[in-house]
Amino acid sequence: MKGDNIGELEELVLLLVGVLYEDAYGVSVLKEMKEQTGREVNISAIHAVLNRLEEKGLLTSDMGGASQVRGGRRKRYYTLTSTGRAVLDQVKSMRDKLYNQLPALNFSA
Amino acid sequence: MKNFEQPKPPRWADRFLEWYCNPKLLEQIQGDVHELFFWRLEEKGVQRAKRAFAWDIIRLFRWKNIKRKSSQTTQFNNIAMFKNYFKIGWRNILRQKMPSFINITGLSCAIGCCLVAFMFIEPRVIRDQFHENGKNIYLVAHEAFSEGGLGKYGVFDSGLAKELPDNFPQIKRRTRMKGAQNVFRIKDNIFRSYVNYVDPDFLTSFSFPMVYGSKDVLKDPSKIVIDQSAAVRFFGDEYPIDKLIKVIYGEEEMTFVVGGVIENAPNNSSIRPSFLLSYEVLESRGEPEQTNAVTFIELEKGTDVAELERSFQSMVSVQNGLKPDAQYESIFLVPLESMAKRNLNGVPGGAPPTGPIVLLISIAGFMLLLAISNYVNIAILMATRRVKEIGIRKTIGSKRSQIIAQFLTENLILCALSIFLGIVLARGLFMPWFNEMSGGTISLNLLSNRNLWYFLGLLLLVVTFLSGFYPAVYISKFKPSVIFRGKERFGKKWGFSGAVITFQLVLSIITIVAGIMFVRTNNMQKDIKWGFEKEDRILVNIPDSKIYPSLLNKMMALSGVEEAVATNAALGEAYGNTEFYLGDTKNRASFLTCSTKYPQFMGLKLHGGRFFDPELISDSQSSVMINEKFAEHYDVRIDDLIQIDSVFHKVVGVLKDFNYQGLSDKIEPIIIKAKPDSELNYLTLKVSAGTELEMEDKIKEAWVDVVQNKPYIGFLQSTVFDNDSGDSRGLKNTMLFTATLATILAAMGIFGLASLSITSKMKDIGIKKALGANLIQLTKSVYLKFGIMLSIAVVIGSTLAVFIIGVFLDEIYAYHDPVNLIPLTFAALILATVVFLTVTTQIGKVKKMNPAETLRME
Repeated sequence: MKGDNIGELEELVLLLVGVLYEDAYGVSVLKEMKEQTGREVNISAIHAVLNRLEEKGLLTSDMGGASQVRGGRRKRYYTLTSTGRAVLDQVKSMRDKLYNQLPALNFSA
Repeated sequence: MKNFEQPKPPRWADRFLEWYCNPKLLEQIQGDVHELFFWRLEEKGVQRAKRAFAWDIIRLFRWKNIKRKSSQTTQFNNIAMFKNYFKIGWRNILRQKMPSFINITGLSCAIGCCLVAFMFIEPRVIRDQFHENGKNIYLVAHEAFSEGGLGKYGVFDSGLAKELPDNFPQIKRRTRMKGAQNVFRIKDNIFRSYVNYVDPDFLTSFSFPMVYGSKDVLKDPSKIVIDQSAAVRFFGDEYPIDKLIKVIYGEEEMTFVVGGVIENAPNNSSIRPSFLLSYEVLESRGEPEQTNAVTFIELEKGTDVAELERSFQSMVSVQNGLKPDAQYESIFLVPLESMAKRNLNGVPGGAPPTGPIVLLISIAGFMLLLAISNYVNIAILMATRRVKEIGIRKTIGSKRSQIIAQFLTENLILCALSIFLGIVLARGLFMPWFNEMSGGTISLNLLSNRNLWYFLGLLLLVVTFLSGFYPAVYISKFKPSVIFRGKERFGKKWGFSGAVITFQLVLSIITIVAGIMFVRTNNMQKDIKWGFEKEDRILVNIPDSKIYPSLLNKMMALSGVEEAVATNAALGEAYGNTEFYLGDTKNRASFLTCSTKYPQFMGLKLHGGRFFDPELISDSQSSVMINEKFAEHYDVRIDDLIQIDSVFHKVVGVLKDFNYQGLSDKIEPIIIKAKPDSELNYLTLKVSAGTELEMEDKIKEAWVDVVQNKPYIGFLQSTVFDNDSGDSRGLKNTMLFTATLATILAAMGIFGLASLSITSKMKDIGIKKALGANLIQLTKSVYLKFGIMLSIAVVIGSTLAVFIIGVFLDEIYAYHDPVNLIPLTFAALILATVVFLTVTTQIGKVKKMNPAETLRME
């Protein structure tokens, strides 16, 4: 365990897994990320992040059913755990808190 | 599957993934990349999809995804497995005594040779690594123009060097070092020896541990520090501190008190201090300030060397201002630990000698190759007896890799054993032999040398792998079904083993020929025609022309001294050469000055003209004699003029060629010029025949009587070439030893192979014997096989030997017999005998065998 803090890509993947809800696996996360944020990441990076998040207990995973397009190979579906959700909440609230403390932009300066 | 002809992802990448990927993760990963591939196929086209696929798989090659044994249980099983391998391996070694014996003996001999080579080479190549502060010590060197080029010099101006620590705070200590030959007097003993004048910090910066005395003893310039061997030589068991040592500088004598004794410098030290005096002594004796000395600086830890080097450049202009005749181009620093490799001018210790190193490496390599070939051959045949075991292992579920691991483990045991025996053999036999033969100094202290242990570890791995890998791969290849059906016929394939044996025979032919050639050359040199009389002549030095007359009188008064003639150098010793002009062309030739009587006195033979005439004054001023070679080479005749030092000299006589340079050099043109006896260096005394040894002592006594305060140098003319022939004797012995060992190893290989191949065919032979075949019919095929191998080896080996050994001999000797049919035939005969005898001992088995026995087997 690397501690409770999560990195930026980790946060993004965690969010996407939450968003995809019951359809979150490697490729779908990758595609969703590209569509929603425009970021193109290698599949190996996605796998690495998913594994790490699972190790940290923020995700759980299960092997799903076979699919034709993958030559009958099963997918590993990821779901957000309650800890994962809590971490996301915490990150967001911390961001908001800090963001609110930013002084208003002052163009006259 | 919309499209039947749908493109597929590149097969190799998919396979690579399957190969490396952890099986638990494979399904989802492979599924993902395939899905991505088909998605990209639609979006980006075939080529890009394929490329992206491959890229994905390469990116997925991560530690997390790579297949490895992670669970506790498999590890546990592995340990049990290896335990089992060790047990089986050990039992196998014990059960197959003869082959194991051959393997272990061969390998340990070879490893012994490797160790000798290592111990010889290591201190010569890895130098100066033992100083505690070594990492911080640098040599101050400079670049300067001289004789047509920018040269690098390992010395530095001693005046500037003196001020270094004051000008640069990074410099912790500085020591200058200047060597000189000085004359010493200890008790009644007068001799010359090399002295290093050093600054007091020398002993602190460098790690030459003190046996007696303290490290700052040289702060007192009246003290001298000597090394242990000098202490033992001059003072024996006595306590050396406070003993007196006198140094004679010309007319003056200075007395020093022994203030410290250091341990002898290790073999790998470039700096070899046997006598150390303070640099102040040199300065107080009027050594000019601006002279060059080897200068070492010890820097504070963490100093930026590059920056210091830059700031040193400011001294270039200072130097060039002070000394216009010795202009520096730049100043640079050389780390002490890599100093020996740089081979700078003026630095103690030179580059390692390549000749002996190459020779020893090739001998050790040859031996290792031979032993490993034996091993490979025998291991394959031995293992073919164990195919059933392999079959069973495979049926139970052993993978091929496990069987390879098993054989390599067994091999490891054997190699470890051989290495152990090799160390014992090297320490007990080879190294003392080598030291005796070569007069070398291999340190016999094996345990403390850490590099040696690294080397042994490496050797163990290399030997294990080289010798074990092929047999293991070969053996593990068989399929159980084939093994149990009994269809695989082992020991029938002679291709590989035959090639290995032939290769071994080739190696032994080469070494045997080398051995023979060295013996022949050595014998030839014993009765070489020197071309002059070398017996019954003793040389003593003439220290001073003033003392010459009394010395001559004293010597002539000795009974037994028949004649005394002076020369500048003994024939055969290194003497100078000179420039000369023939007409307008400038040339160089060897040059000997001697008394007018010397050529005749030494029994040199005339080819034409006359000897010098002692009565003619002109002969000791403007006449020269030359040798035949000179006359031929420059086409010079009697009465021609040769200009030396702007004086014209007339050639009065031509001498027949004589060996004046030792055996490793060819006869070169030489000019002999006469001079008055008193101006020469040596007096050659002719003594009554056969009395040289007893006369030597008498002459020394008489000499010491006449001359005071000068070291006596005296030697026999007949010993001048001893160094040379000593070297060549050492070489001969080394080569003979190598040849013998190589032949024994090859013979053992043949022995093992013959024995195993006959044993594996006992049933065949039994049947044939029962049917009435006689011994010749039975064994013809075996003899024939070895005969063919031998013939091939002789042809290849002789060709190689002529070439390799020819080059080698040319390198070492100026004159040697050609590598002709005689040594080649001789070598072939020796080898044929060995092969024949070895095979015959095995055939004995066949002769004694009772067919009933073998047919009953199994």
